[in-house]
Amino acid sequence: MTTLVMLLFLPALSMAQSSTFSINLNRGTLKQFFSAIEKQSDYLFVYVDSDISNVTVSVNVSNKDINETLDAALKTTNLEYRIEGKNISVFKAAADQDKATKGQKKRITGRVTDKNGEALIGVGIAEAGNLKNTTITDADGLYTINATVNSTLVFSYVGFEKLQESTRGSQNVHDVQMSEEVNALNEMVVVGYGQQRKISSIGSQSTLKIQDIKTPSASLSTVLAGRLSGVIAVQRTGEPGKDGADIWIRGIATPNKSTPLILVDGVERSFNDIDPEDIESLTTLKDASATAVYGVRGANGVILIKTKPGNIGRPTVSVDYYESITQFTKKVDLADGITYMNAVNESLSNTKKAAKYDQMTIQNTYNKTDELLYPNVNWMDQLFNDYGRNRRANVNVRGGSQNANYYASVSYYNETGLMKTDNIEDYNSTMKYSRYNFTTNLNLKITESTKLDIGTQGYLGEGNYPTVKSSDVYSSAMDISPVDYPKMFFVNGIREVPGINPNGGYRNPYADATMRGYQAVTRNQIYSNIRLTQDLSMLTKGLNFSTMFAYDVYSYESVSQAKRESTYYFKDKNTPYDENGQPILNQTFTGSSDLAYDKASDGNKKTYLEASLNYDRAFGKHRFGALGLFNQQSKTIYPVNTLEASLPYRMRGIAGRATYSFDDRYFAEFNIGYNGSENFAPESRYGTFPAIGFGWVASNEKFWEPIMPYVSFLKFRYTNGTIGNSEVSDRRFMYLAQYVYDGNFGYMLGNTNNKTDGVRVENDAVDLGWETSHKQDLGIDFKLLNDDLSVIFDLFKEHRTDILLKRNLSIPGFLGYMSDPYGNVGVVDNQGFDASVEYNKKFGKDWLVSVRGNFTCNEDKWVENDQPTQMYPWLSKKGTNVNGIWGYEANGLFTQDELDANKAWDALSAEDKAANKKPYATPYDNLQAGDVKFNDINGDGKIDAYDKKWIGNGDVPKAVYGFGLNVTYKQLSLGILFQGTSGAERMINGSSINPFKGDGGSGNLYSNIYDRWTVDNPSQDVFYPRLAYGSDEVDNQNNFTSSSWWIKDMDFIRLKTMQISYNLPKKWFSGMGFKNVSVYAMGSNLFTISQFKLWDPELNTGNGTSYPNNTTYSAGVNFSF
Amino acid sequence: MTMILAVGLLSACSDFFDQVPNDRLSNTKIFETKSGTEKFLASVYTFIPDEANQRMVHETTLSRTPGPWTAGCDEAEYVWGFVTSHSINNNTFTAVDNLSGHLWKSWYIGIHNATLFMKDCHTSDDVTEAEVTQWTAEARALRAMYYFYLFRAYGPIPILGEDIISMSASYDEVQLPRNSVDECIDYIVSELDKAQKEGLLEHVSKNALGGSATNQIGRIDQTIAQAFKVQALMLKASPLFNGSNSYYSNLQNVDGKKLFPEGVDKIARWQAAADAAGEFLTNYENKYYNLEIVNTANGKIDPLLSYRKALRGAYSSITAYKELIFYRIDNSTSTMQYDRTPYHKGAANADYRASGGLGATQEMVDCYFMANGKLPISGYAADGKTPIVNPDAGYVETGIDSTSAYIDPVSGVEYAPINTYNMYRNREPRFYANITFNGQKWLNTKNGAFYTIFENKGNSGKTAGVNDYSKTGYVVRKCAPEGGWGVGDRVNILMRLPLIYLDYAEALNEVSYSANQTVILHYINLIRERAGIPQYGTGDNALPVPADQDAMRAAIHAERTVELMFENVRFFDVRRWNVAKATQNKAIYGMNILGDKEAFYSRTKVEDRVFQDRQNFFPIPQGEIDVNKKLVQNTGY
Repeated sequence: MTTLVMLLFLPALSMAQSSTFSINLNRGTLKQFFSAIEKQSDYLFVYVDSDISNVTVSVNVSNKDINETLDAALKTTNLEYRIEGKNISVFKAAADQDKATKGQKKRITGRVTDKNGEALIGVGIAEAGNLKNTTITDADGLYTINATVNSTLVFSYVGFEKLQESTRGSQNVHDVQMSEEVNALNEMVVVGYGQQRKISSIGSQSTLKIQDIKTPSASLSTVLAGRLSGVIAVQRTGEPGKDGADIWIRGIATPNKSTPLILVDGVERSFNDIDPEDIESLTTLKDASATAVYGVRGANGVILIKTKPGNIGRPTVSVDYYESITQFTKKVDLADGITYMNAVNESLSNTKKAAKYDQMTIQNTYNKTDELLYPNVNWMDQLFNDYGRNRRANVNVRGGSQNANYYASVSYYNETGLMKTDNIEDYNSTMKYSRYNFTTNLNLKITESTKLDIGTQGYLGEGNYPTVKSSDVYSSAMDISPVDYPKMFFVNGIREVPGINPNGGYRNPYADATMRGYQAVTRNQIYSNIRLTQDLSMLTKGLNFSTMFAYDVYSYESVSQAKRESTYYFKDKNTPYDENGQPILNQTFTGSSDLAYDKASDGNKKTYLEASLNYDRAFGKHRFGALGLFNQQSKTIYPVNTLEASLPYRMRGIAGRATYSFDDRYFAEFNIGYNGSENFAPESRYGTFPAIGFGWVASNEKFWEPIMPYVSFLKFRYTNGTIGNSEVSDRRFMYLAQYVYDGNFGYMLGNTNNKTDGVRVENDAVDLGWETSHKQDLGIDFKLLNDDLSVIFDLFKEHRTDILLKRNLSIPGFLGYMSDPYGNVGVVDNQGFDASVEYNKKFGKDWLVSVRGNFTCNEDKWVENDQPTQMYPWLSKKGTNVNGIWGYEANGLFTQDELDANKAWDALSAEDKAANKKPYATPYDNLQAGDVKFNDINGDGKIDAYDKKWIGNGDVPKAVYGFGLNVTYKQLSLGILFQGTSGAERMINGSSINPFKGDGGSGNLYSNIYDRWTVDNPSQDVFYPRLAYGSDEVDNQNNFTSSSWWIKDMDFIRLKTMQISYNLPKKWFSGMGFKNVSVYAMGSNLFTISQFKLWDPELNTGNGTSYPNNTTYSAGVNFSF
Repeated sequence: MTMILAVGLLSACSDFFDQVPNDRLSNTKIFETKSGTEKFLASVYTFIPDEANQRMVHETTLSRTPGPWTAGCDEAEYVWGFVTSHSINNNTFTAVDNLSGHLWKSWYIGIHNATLFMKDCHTSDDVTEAEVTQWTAEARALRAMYYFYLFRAYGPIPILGEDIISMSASYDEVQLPRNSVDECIDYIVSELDKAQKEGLLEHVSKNALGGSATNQIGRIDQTIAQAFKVQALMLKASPLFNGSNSYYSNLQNVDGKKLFPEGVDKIARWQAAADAAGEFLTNYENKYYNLEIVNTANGKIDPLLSYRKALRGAYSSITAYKELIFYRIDNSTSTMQYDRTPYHKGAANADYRASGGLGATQEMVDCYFMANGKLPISGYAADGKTPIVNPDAGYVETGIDSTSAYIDPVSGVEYAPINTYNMYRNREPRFYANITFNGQKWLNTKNGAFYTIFENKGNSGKTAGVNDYSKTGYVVRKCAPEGGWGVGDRVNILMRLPLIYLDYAEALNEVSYSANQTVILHYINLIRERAGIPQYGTGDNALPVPADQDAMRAAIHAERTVELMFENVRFFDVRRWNVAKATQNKAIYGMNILGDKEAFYSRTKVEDRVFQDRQNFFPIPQGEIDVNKKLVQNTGY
């Protein structure tokens, strides 16, 4: 203890970094001796054997170097030592050294690589039993050692598992492959603003090693689904360049911004356009302890992405290239013209109206007598090719020396969508996206104690699209029927666009996709960051100072040329053709064939500054760590139209962390963030966000030893803390009023034709504060079966208060305020669990199997939402989830008997009516059999807004899971990953999915229209209720109102990826300079199992009008030299 | 240590967060200047309804306050499903619908703005005392008008007086009960009185503040305030509000205070309304207002042109109009004209082609007098569809006249082209001004004549229009343009002189027919004379004078229905007269738009409509009741 105390005050005395030692120790413990050395230098002792601490030594040296000092100390013991860099290993001299074979030596050579075939430089090699016989590998990973015959070589390297290789046999060349240490005591994990030893980390976080993941998409966010516990990721579209996923961590606990904070190399950045090859690791921070340091930004979780740093060694060039073909996971399937016309006629006859299509028209369409007059167009087939493609190439080089190393990479990604183009147009509207990325990370050691890291990354993304948005093209295909007009007219070889609406409605989808011009989009992004790290051991050991400055710029440019051509239709369907057989057309809509130029641009720039002091030091079994950090960020968006929007978005704060651990058994951690946000008045601008955590590694306890063979690792974690959120979607500077002069609120007086602007109150000033999220996390990590099986399980609970809500429910309208001011009035509870399981096992020499799985689920509910007491309890949102769907509760379809019962009631006298309840309440009179029936929740005999209640979860899943398998056999490996969600529900509605719901009965039909109620088949078990024609039919108003009838379960499970790769045997390419060559084939979204069949259930659409996700099949090659 | 460093940094650069948008307005800033004060006054005015856009009453900005009045009663029907009037017609309109909340909130914002303006408009040194006086009076009058609009739609409502209740008011401070019918009307009337006495211009043509003679157009003047007084007192006297409607006899506040009067002197109420109307006419008729008259070449009244001129409201020559009392200058004219110009597929000029989405009902067609001044039908048979034809009216329900066009005997103008269905011949001139029927020539002839066909396969039928067509086989023609439908230059007419005539006649008749017969007939006949139809007891082909009070009431109601059709009056008339259950709780009819040629001319049900007692008023927005527990809901919701 005295030693310890002394050590704490010693640093000041040993400020001079000495390479010589002066120690005077008389019968001290070995530990005291080691401490003395550690104190006077950078050296660290690694005890190979645990029972040496009782050894006593006496030493008296002055100004001796390390070897002399150690020799002097250890000469009276049976200990030997070895120095590797700054690490000193001390171990017992081999007692059973076979002296007989001493002297019979042979020269062994070889090359040490990691499992990717990359040379490992500086690997220590020692002969077992003769540990003074050592060498290290050179820059090519090569070594030479004269070792005793029939001995064993021990290979050791920081971060890698120790490996033993026998020298028996005649072979003199021993190439060895080392694998990374999986569960080393010193394994580090990424935490907020730094790294921590994995064992000591208490916060809930999960990490994805990106190295094995390829994604056949431009957007990296698409890889997250199913791979990380706690992460809910949903991909909403597969459109090239726009296919980033929506991400949430542990669900939604606020109606405001609920997406996580994403930091790339420590700076708030988007990671969608980063090439996956350039990423070292991706970490999610989920609980309060892990995210408290981010203060106001961290309430929705944090994702930390680290790009690859350089490493020491000869430059290794890696090349990866693949080529894919893409297909829609699911293309919507629309009804053919015959089915469509019959359904129209049925819907009209249901309300006793005359048929729209006569039998002759139907027959002629069926017979294809004249496809211009009697068209039958499958618009989906006209819009999309069967296949698209994408390709990606990445070349990177990594290498360097002790003082300077680097990682540099360039990549190219190119994807072509499936939308068709028309060759006649003289512009190119091909849907495609190309991206050129570069990344360089440079790590310099300027002095022994000063490091400089410089990172620059960027990309140039170039997209080309039709001018009409793909969702709009889809919409127009949903609006127009297959029989309204043909795909195209040709009159004397001149193309004319068919169309029927003089106002341009019922657009021709094919023309939308191919003939409306193009939009060319350029996106430029530069990320740059420079970090200086100064070791402050001269002040006190374990202390360093680090500062980073980052500057990011982004620009977006779009140029487009757009047109809308005139449309035509037969002048008279009775005399459709002239004497030459050419169609006689009438112009229906006046457009223009001239392309009109337009442009748009936006961009932003951001600066970020961070400075921190870090302290980490062990004193025997005690280990202390501390972090103090200052950061500030300023982001400017341009061009913008208001002064307010032009002001930089600013954020500033400080963060602190203190950690303590004892003997790697007990851990405690305290984190704090202190942040300011522009949204709040100066006096309430800063908020404090503390979190505390405790950990216990039970398996490191003595009493655990008997259990060790069964449970090799067990750790408990508990964290508790608060984090904040200051962001709302539509408001800055909340403490300032927002009044504007606005013509819409003005009035015209006098005869000068000048309107006087009026005053529009966008927002009144409100004095508010943060949303505060109180999070607790209870975690357990354990390993079974000799570490082969590891499990991480976390229970979490979040209580979010002071949620910023617009107070449009509690401020009555008669007060006369125009704006709905925000207030800190909402409360949401969110709880759930996430878990991940991993099993790795080597079978024999050649088989390696790993199985992984993860699961996340959460349940959120409103506790307080500013809603006053409601007339009926079910009208209150309290207790329902944030993203819930509201509507009527459907209770099957009306039968004729039920309606007859209603009729009988209608005929009753007023008194009888008062005495007897109407048997079935309806929202409209004159419903018919086959119409949707709703529950009259308040029992007042009417179906109206007071009967609306919570009927569904909404489109964000309650649970997501993923599981996969990797099998490696020799050089061949297979990986598969399944991913699924559950608890996502969607109210489907819109053109086509609500048959003939458009004004005048417009809209296309899905091919499942056969699954409907009809007079002949009055089944309750159908997809569609009775058909009616037109928006004004009460049946349609009744049947398509928001109700549980249309809530569809969007759960799915899909084979997300499957990959087979083969490492070519070295002999095939030996001598060609290659280190490693592999080929692979992979597929993504190969199949999906879902109850919902109409479109890809992941899409964010109520009627399928969204560019679908892709299935891709890729083949690629990867080599390095 | 870092903490200390960081805290040091934070305080050292405390201006990091000092960047604020310094262009922000505030009430203080607005009232510092004259132009700001005028702008704030404009945002008191802005809540005057722009009734030209009744298609989008549900999703407009708060400054816009049109109502679903035309298609929300038996005057018309919109074709588009999204139009909110449907929810009124089928009685599905509830207290949580946006329509209810929107108008409520908008007019209360107007009230809030007016009160605020009255408090602060004197702030700027550049605003003269005279301006303060006039503008304050205008704000006061507008506030009363907004209360009137609220009252008319929602029934009695809470009156806030001069109070501005803070946004962060406590729960207790926002527990305000409804005022009674009489309190509301008396408040509105006294405020209008006060505004008239304390600063309103007598008429906008009298410019008290100097400047050009016409720069006050659009402002609230004493004549407008008086016209609103008449409207308010008419409501107070009408059966719905005078205690005659038992449905509301139990509507009371939480403390038991009844909101509707009981056992009051109804005659006195009518007398008050008559007095106000009489005062208007005494003071302002002839001085500022007269019926528009356009004479033919031979010096006779041209009824069609006169009536259409009265409804033209061209802003470019607004000072030349004599009949317009109250109007909104900037408005959604093109939206209104798009609704009222038929689809006209095949018309070469886009000016002719719009939607015709606002279909007039057969019931309204049946309301127009014959050219001989008699009503064509007296009602409907039990099926609600077959008309009971007036035997002596000369009305022919069926057949097409292929021999001649129907020419107005006075002006010689062709009212209906050859081959017009007999139902549309020999009708009064206002019919031809207000209704576009099948086969009628379109108003715009600048690029040649075009005939509107509503038959199924016709140029404006359902097949051609797909979702832009008339559901009734008629389109509202009143205020439709003679130029392109997209051309503006039209004020939104909110009150015309005939409204006061008809109010006066109605009130006097309710007071005493016998005592007031001469005056009543004078004003009704003024309207009929201008309309080009025989008058009661005077002039050519004079009709017999209505025999008694009931007959006179029927005549006044019939005249009012026709003269003010599609002018946002009938919706409220059928309610205040307590007749809505008879006229609105039934199907509306039109022609058979799914038929062609002869098949078209068949009275066909357009839709069933429901009117139950509760529909006399809008529901009070549920959200208001949830917060303000003293605010009781209207009966039936």
